[in-house]
Amino acid sequence: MKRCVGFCFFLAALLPSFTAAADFGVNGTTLVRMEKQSYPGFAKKTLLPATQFLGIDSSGLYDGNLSLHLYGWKRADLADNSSEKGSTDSAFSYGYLRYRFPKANGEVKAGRFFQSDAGMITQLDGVSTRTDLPPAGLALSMFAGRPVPTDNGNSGDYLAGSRLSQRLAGVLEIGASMLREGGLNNNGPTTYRQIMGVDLWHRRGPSLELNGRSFYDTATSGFTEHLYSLSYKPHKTITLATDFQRTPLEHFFAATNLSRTPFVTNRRETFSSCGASATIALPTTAEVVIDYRHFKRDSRNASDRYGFDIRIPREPYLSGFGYHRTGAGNLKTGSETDFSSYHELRGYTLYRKGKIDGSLDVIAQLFDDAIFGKDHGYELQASCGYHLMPELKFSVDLSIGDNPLVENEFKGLARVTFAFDKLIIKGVDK
Amino acid sequence: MRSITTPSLLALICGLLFFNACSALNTKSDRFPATHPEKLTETRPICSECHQDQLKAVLKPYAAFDHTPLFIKEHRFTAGRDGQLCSLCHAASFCTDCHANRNEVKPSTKLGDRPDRELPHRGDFMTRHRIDGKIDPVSCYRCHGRANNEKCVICHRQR
Ligand code: HEC
Ligand code: HEC
Ligand code: HEC
Ligand code: HEC
Ligand code: HEC
Repeated sequence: MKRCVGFCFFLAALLPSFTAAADFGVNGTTLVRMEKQSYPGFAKKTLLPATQFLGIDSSGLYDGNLSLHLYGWKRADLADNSSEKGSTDSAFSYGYLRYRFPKANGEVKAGRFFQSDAGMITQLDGVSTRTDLPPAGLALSMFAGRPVPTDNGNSGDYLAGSRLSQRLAGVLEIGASMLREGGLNNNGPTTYRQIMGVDLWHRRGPSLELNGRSFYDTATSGFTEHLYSLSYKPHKTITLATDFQRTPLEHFFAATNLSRTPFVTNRRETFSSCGASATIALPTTAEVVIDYRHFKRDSRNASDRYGFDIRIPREPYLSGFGYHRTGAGNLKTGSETDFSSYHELRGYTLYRKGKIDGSLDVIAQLFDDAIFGKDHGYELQASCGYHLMPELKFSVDLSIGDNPLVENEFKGLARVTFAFDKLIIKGVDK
Repeated sequence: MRSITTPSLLALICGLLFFNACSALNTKSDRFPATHPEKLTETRPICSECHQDQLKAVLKPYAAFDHTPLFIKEHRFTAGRDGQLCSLCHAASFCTDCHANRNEVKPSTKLGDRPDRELPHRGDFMTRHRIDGKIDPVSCYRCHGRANNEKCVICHRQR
């Protein structure tokens, strides 16, 4: 895999040199974290991992419609190992070529990429394409390839999907989609999941909007989910919304690769939730969101979460405050000692002016029943940053915290973020 | 239902590529620019403050993409329909900060300097996840369970 990453970056470096006019951009984040880790039942560790996230984007290649996008990360531990994988680790998140056709919003992607058609996110090595079709409003997208193997096995040998949609300007969009992940082992073809879906968008006037989708898995012969949401804007500053979700877990979790826990499939259990929220947005003054949600699992009691968030922009500050109550009814099952309803409070402020950034963020939980003998937890984080250039920022985060699992935690982090666009503009005769 | 095989799908894709090329000659729908012409600041954009009417390429009003708290919470719907539009402003790495097969750090660590972002798992989540995970495991499965399991298997081994 490493060779593959190396090759891609090599390719990226070469590409601009044989095209007429290309933009070449590099962006990334370098993190050096410092943590002392001590979870009950695990050995104490000092962690000092250095991680580099690196992305390369090059556009205007070939005839100007081709672009290349690469992203990945690599970590090296400067003290104790921070994961079971050893002292270094890396991942190649994506690396693909994208060609945009001059018309019909046609596009083709090839390589490793994320696909989120119909709202199902998958990472694959393969090809994808989409185009508008002649009767106005019709569009088709398709993708096929190999699912990028997950860390825990149990992924298929191939993955393919498509979505066909019809739009009615400003009023309606209906989509029909399919996603199939299958295996080709000695026992013949197997199906990991074959999801058939429909999705819907409808808007009535400027104030009413409906969004929704239903998915059915033919591999387990059952609906995996229904998810519908309705919003209403009685006034330009007020949005009221409600949503409903129903998910039979045995079908929804069927393709998990975490074996039995925590996504249990052997219970015939349905999860459902419904929620409502009100957003009041007073431009340049404040934004308030009040929300309520009710959850129900067949195997456990119902629970609720409700609260509010306020966001106040005051140049050069942006501040926020929120409170949520998670009232967990009685979801405890006999042996569990670590379950409790809780209150959560959060407040933050962000300062951005010129070359200086700074922020302060505090989050705290108050548990009704003590967990491992402690009835509260908090984390206070301060960050300050300096822009050496508009494209290059250096920042340091420090946090202290205390919670039922970790006693008096202290964490530090140093970060460099950079985003250089149009690094090389090779205009031969432009 | 008859299962669909890879070769037939690949054939379909090739057909579609061809069709793509042809339709490019035939239809006259509006095409997006590759990137948003105006550089926006690092705050949630309200499209309808700068744009009126319809976004022709997706046949929806601009207001449907205003980055309101509701849009952020339900971005799954727009991402599933109009993913191409998102790439006007968002590099795929913007999405993979939260959605990835393997992620090195939780989003609120990587973006610890952005308390204003809507990042999952702020603060101590190891304690809270036992509660939140029991209440709504469905929300977790969007990002864990098929992907991003590395940290989970330390405790959630096959039993
Ligand atoms: C600060 C003002 C501003 C905001 C906010 C803004 N845009 Fe734009 N946008 C522009 C300008 C200026 C242009 C270039 C002129 C034009 O084509 O209208 C543009 C162009 C576009 C185009 C290309 C139009 C065409 O026909 O070529 C699209 C598509 C677009 N914006 C989508 C969006 C979306 C979606 C949002 C919200 C997520 C958004 N914009 C938010 C200012 C803005
Ligand atoms: C016109 C540009 C534009 C378009 C088009 C656009 N976005 Fe955004 N989006 C932004 C900007 C700017 C931000 C703020 C980024 C920041 O705060 O650093 C943002 C933020 C977000 C966030 C994160 C919010 C948070 O607080 O963490 C999500 C999720 C998101 N967009 C999803 C989408 C999706 C899905 C689409 C496609 C339907 C889309 N966006 C299209 C400009 C755009
Ligand atoms: C700030 C973190 C964050 C960012 C950035 C982000 N998302 Fe999401 N995304 C979420 C969360 C949280 C959910 C919903 C999980 C839930 O059900 O509660 C979600 C859900 C989704 C889903 C639905 C998944 C499913 O199985 O139902 C899609 C599709 C999606 N996001 C696409 C995108 C795309 C495309 C982008 C980039 C433009 C993006 N997201 C950026 C946090 C993020
Ligand atoms: C929008 C995607 C997304 C959703 C939804 C999500 N997670 Fe995560 N989660 C992540 C990412 C990314 C990480 C960082 C990866 C890592 O640390 O391995 C993470 C890390 C974690 C961690 C390790 C935290 C730590 O302190 O290191 C736990 C535990 C966890 N998630 C549990 C959950 C549970 C339980 C849910 C549902 C209530 C959930 N997650 C929902 C994306 C998500
Ligand atoms: C340090 C150990 C540890 C790690 C790491 C961990 N968990 Fe857990 N998790 C637990 C414990 C303990 C419980 C509570 C089990 C119980 O009470 O039955 C739990 C419960 C859960 C539940 C609720 C299950 C139920 O009863 O319905 C979910 C969902 C969950 N974890 C998801 C995750 C995910 C996803 C990750 C990885 C991102 C993760 N956990 C990482 C220890 C851990």
